[in-house]
Amino acid sequence: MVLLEVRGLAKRFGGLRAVDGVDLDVEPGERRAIIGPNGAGKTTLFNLVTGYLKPDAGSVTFDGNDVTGKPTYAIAKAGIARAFQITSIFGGLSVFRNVQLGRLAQAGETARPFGVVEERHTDAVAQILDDCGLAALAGERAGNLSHGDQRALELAISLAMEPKLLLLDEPTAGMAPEETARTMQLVRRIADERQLTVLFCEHDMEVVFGTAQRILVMHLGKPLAEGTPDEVRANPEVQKVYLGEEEVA
Amino acid sequence: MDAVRTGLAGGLLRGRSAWAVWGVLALVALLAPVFASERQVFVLMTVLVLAVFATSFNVILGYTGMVSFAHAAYYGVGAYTVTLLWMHLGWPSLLGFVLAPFVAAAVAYVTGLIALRAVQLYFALLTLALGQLLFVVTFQWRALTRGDDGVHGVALPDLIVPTTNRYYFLVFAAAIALAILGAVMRSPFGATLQAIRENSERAGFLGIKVKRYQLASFTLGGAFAGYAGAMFVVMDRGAFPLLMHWTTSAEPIFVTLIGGLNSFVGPTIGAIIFVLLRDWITRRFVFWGLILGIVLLVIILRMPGGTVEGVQRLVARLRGRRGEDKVAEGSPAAAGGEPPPEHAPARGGEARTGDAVEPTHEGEAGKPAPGGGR
Repeated sequence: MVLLEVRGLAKRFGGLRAVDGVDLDVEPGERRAIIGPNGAGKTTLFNLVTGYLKPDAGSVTFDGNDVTGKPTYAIAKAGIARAFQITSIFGGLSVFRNVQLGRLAQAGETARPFGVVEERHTDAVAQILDDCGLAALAGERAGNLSHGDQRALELAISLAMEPKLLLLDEPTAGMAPEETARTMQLVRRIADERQLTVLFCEHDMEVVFGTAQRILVMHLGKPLAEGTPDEVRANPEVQKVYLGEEEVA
Repeated sequence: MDAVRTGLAGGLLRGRSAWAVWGVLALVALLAPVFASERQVFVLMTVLVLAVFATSFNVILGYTGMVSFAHAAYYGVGAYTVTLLWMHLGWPSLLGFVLAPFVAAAVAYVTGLIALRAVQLYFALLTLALGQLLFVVTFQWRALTRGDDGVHGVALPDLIVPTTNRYYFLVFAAAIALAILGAVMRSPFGATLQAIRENSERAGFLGIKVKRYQLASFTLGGAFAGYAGAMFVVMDRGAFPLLMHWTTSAEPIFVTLIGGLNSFVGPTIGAIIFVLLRDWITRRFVFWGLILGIVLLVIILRMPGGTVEGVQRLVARLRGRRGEDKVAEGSPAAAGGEPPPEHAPARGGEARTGDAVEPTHEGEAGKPAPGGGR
């Protein structure tokens, strides 16, 4: 069974074909990466899958249901959680509340006008904070956190939603190398522990090789190659458009 | 774990200190008629009405992050619900009082549905237009409302005709309204509204239907504005179109900014300061409007985040002098961290996450994306 099935997905902005006929199958429990240089269309693809943008053509099927062009909240409810490339948290609220909101949304309790929010899901939230190394910062204002901790919080919010599929948009964006290693280790550990299906995109190939089981390489909106890390690494076309460019840079 | 369980880090009065503030306010409210003159009791009634009016407004502004200029319209709808049912149908004013929040909620729901087709500034402008529309209808439709003359001399139950009794009725009414709003704001629903205020886009990605919650918030605020309008009729025994004019909407904005929009008690504190100050100044100065304006300007500029946060900062500083540790550990006021001074009401500069071309990384550490979606 395929958890996420993308067929012929396309989106253009004026003359730019940002995503141009992408097919993608993600199996349950898989850790899949999408890589490609800046401008390859990775983020646009994520925006199409999560309903932030409506595709011009193609379809997205998730868990057997057609979710093409559905609004973001409906896709989130279906079980796709997304952590953003540019950190997107609730800056004025506490770290604890940030994660708690993910839980409330997952439990369908956000409309509940009674009861004290402080008392909801405290153990589950504390557990997630612990897993993500944020336990000590629970009472802190989220906006005051360091960049690395905000990235971890971003992940924690998504985890609190208990998604079937977790989308990570450049989870290590703007991080120092050691932070990058720590974050990817966290992603691997949590994905294993919770048997999560993870789809993530990166432009740093080295980050991807250690974590992904399969890789889709994109270039100028089109899929260029797909396979295991070794296959992708060995692919001459990938080397030409991607690795070569890295060496120059 | 105490620190873990505290919710907001945005300088909300909470826990013991919040209950202490409310306890003192309740005590003062209950004992006031013993010491105050009849004129002063009337001033306190104005405080009560404005406290409910401003708190209902803060549901929309402070909690949900939307600016509305239609709030006075719902206030007026509540007031006219009582007066028109009494004038045309002879219904008892207390029945109108009970119905007022529901009628105001219905009007707020319909107008909110229209205004929420737009966002942010355009939303605010639509509320201005819709509010003025309601004002003009009230002003022009003389057969129904008596227009500019207003409606006066609404009959009240005998029990609440004496000033002191009427005052206690309004204390009771305000307590009910504030208790309900306070309970709702600390519920999961209230937390969701704050999430929408902080980052509406992210809230959507959590599976929250942002517009629906914004409409619910707008309707709830409108309902209690109507309730405050009904309280006004009990105080004043009348209603007039000016209640609905958009300039009246400025009053809860002022009051909320003075008190502080980041706390539930803020608008109530603001109402006390605003009304008492206005009363004091108008009786001493001819150009009272000018002086009141200057005083309010100084308060708002000197204390961003309002009086409540100003006092919290002061308390934190005094404690800090006695020993840093005390603040760092879990006293209620310090548990969520003292609000940073730059935590201003205006949340602009939304970082878009869905740009067509992959956006450049926002590299600086510690810079949040302050999604100010309204």
